[in-house]
Amino acid sequence: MKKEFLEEVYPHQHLIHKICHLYRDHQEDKEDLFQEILYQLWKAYPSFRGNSKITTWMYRIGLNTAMASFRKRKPDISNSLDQMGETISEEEVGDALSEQLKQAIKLLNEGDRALVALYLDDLSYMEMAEILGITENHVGVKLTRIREKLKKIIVKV
Amino acid sequence: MELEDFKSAYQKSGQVNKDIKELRNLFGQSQRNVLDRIKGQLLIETILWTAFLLLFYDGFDAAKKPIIWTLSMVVGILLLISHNIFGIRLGNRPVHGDSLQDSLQNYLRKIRRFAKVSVALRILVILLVFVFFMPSVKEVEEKRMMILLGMSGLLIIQVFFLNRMWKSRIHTLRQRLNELS
Repeated sequence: MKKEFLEEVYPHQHLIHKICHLYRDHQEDKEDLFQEILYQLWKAYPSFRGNSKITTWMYRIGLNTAMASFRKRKPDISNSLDQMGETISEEEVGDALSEQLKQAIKLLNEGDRALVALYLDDLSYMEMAEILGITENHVGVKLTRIREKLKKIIVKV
Repeated sequence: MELEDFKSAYQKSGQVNKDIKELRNLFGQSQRNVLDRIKGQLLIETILWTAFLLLFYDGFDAAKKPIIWTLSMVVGILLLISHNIFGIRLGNRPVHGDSLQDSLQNYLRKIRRFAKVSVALRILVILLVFVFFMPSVKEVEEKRMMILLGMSGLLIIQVFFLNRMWKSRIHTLRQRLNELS
């Protein structure tokens, strides 16, 4: 079963990496969370019956692990703000904007970050609603609010 | 830049993948880490409480007291250790429902219940220690009395910090739950 599990998870491991980047600031913490998510996926694997896509299931367990675990280190907010304010050359504008948005996303609260992660990975409203446990309408409302929040964060810096 | 424009960049990110062998090693490591953590915590708790029991039994002539008191102490401490085992298991299982909201709600409910029982059990053990030794306070020499007070003090400090830790964890979980709704 271990082999089967690893073969199923292996092609989608980038999803775990993304969660780790969104929810942890330090490399060591990211590695710890990666291991923790992998372990929780393994424990939940026997109950995965293939009713939903494996990526939906992995997001559910991964986001749950990231949000329900109690980290030892406090999130490094100053680092995100510093990186957003850095001076950049014109060629780097495209990359920098995307980097700026990435840093702004890290300044959102953890619940909003979960929704952004699902949205950016192109999950449908139905899948997002299923993972988070809210209605599809609420997903739409929350996404509108998050867009506004992100604009405000970027304008501020 | 709009959030939509960031989609393709985001989807391409996180591609620094580990190969299957590395993933397998990491998986083995993750299982060992969790087991080591459980073993370590359990071992420390069990050694400390056993030492606590032995010290009181030996140092304070517990054998001369009615057996019911000794049994109560042992049962109290056994309850505390088994409750700790339950707590370690709870801490290592953050997924408690089909959706994030359900899971966090259930986890919060379980943690609140666990925190209450955890603090209550420690208070019970402190009370048992006092009830157990109070009748013989006059017979006990000053040095032993100091040890008794010192250990009771440590237990009270433990209750204080434990209570603070649980309050902070419950607050964090409640906050994350609010962020989702």
